[in-house]
Amino acid sequence: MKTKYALAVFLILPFLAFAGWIFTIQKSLNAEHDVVIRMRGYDPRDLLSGHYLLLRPDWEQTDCSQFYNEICPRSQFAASYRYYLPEFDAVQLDKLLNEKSPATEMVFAYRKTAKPMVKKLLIEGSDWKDWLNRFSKSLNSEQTSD
Amino acid sequence: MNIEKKVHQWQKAGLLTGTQGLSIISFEKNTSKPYLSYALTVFAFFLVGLGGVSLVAANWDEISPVVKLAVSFVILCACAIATWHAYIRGRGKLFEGLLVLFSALLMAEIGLIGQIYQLQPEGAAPFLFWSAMVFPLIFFCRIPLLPAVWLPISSYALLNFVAENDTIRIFFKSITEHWFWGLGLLWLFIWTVIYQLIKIYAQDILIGLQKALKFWIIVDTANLVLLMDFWGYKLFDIHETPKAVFAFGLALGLNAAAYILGQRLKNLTLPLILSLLLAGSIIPLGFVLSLAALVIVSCHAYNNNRFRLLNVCIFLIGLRIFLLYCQSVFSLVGGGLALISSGIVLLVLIRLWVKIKTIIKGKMKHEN
Repeated sequence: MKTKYALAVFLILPFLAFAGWIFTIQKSLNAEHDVVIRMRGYDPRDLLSGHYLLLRPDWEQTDCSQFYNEICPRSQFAASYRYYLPEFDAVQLDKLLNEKSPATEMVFAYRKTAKPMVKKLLIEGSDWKDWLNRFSKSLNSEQTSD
Repeated sequence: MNIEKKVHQWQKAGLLTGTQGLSIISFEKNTSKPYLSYALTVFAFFLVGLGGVSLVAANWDEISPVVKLAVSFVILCACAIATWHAYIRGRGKLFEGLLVLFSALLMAEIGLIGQIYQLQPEGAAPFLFWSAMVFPLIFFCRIPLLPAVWLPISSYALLNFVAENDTIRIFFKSITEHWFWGLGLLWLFIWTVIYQLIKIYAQDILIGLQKALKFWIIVDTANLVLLMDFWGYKLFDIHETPKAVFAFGLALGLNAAAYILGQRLKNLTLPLILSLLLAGSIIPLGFVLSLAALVIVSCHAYNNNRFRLLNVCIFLIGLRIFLLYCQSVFSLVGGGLALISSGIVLLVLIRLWVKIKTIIKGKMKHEN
């Protein structure tokens, strides 16, 4: 009988753990403010590994005025970041980024005392999905007019 | 073993009557468990769980994050309820399968949250999180599939986690620098101690984990023997390093402690690891290491009447000797002659052994 209740507890525990984890992440995402960091491919020949883009901050081209004292806190950020993508868009986006080299940025939830958290990927100032849709449409219309 | 064939042989030899034979066959048929269907059911659930992980990995952008999380939570919740119901209704096969599925879905959920929130990888942290959540469920496993998957994942995660500590990292580095196999053997030792402890104190509770540990200890030992045999000697000259001797002594001491711990049980694993350490560290000939391990397993098989295992060992010993000839004798003619002479020597030795045995038996009869 006791094992029955023990099993119930052990089956419920993961749900509590997940709920706590999501709550912590959400709390971190509601940070003091968002910052936009210019990114570039970690390795231009192989930007895509698995289904994520591997990008690293390009501090030379980042606007440091968005930080305190207008100094980019380089040490607070990692050397590279992953951005997870849907399987079907990943290959296309990787190809386009390598060919066109558009301005790529990442939006981070930033707090002075915590690790910055990735929020969004921007390509030429737009959300990556919008940019990809727009680019694909223009490419299709060019092909039909030819 | 084909019981019907055996019973028929015993009936022919006059050891059993026809009625006794029929009773044995009907008893065996009624009490034997359908192991294959049991294993396949659990494996099927494992595949479904893996499929779930793969689907999550595809990262469906068309579905909003909230819906993704909600759906995954509902699936996980349904699986948890089904698992619990299967347990309280005593449906062992279904319960084990659902437990495997639930554990796989937990892994998928971690992956999903990581994807949705674009979390950056931090070592083996996701695996450690998963291992911690699955650990209490291991206590309910009667078959070793879930524990067999959990063991290497949790070990890898734990090793990564403890290696984040500077002192431990330096310790690991110094072991592998001076004695390449040290870390592998240390890990094998830890598993063996846990295996022995379970066997002594918690055999009934942790039967699944115990079987899984046994499986991995055998696989890892075989793996280490092969690696040390074929590559160890060429890669590292450990015999001239005083620190390696110290590391060897330490490992030997630890293994001796484990051996004493497991002494009350008839167990093959610890003497095997002990001999492996001895041979691998003292005798600079990889061939002897494999041979020593195979001879120990052969002795165990002979003592326990496990003749299939004995045959496999003898075949492997023969194969290893053949490989030794390939390693040391480079011409086909030389290798052929060496093999023929070895075979003749072996035949002579067997003949001598049979003769000596007959003489001893004769003397014993005479004395009686």
